[in-house]
Amino acid sequence: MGNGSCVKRMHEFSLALSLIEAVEQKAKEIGATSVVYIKLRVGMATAVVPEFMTEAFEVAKIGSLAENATLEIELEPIMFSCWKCNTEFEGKDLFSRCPSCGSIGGRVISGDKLIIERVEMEVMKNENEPTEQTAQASFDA
Amino acid sequence: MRMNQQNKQRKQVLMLENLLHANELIAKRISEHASKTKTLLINMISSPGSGKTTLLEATAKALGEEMRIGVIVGDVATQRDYERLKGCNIPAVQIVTGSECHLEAAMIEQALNQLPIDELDVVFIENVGNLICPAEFNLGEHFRVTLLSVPEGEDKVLKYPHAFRTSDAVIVTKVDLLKHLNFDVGLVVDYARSLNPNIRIIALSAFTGEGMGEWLEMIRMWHKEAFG
Repeated sequence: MGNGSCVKRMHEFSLALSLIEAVEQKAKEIGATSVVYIKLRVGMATAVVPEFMTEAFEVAKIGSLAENATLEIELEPIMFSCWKCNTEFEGKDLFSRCPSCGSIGGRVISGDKLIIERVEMEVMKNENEPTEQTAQASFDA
Repeated sequence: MRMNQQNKQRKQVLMLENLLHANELIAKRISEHASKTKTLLINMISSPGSGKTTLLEATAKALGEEMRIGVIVGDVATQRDYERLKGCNIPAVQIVTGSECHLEAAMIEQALNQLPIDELDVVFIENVGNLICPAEFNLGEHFRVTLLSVPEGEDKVLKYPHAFRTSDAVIVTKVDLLKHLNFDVGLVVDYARSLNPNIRIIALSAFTGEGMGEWLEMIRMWHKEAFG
């Protein structure tokens, strides 16, 4: 593998770190102790290669709250609005043809972002935490 | 004393958050700050060796009397570009990223703190030489240009569409070499306009001066557009 793919892997690694930062932040917000699952949508108009992203995540997650998390990646096609006729169409790369008028490309409506869709986290629950009812009962007794 | 029983509970959280959200927030802050000081921020993206530094040297020479210019240079290693630009007597900051293949908004925010931004009309950001990754990171710039040098070939636009798609202008550099190479500027125009019909294409040579007038005029126009 040439230089090109080394540069790309570093790129996915840096993105994986940002991903972990974002989910750790969310975990702290809700008082979760760990992240067990992440669903990431990767737009085809980003320069991200899903396999590289998964590989990078496996390394980047070590030592974080997402250490035991599974990353699921969904590739999102690009949605265009044709420059010439405004028809909305889907494509896999940025030079896709409009099915209506045949011209190349369009304004990108979606598929150009990396979206953290949802996460699953583990929250500690204390079973013997007195509920309001129990507390009331012991008071009356 | 009774032992409390700890139970783990799974919680699903819908986030729908842009992975680069944190970068976007900082970029917005940068843009607002630069707009307040009426400092035009231009992000320059290209492959290594396309002529970013040479173009900036020529720009500093040509525009230096008229507009107060500053530069932020990003490189994986060395301060060589920074030294060249310091030689043009303009305030400059070098970011050495180490392994990072692109610049991010947080780096720019720090770098801007080292420049007398209140006194500057334009700050050029010379991004790390790379046509892939820099395209994804908003640096808070008002305008973005991607350079493509004649020796690289027109099909770079097809191979690396991300940088070209997100740019306001394509600067074809080293046109003094057109006589030696098979390069069709018309194809660059066609390919780039499929990605963005409003993109401007300027062909120039920092070496001979050809096309520099158009480039300088565009910078003046952008400053006016941004700040009146």
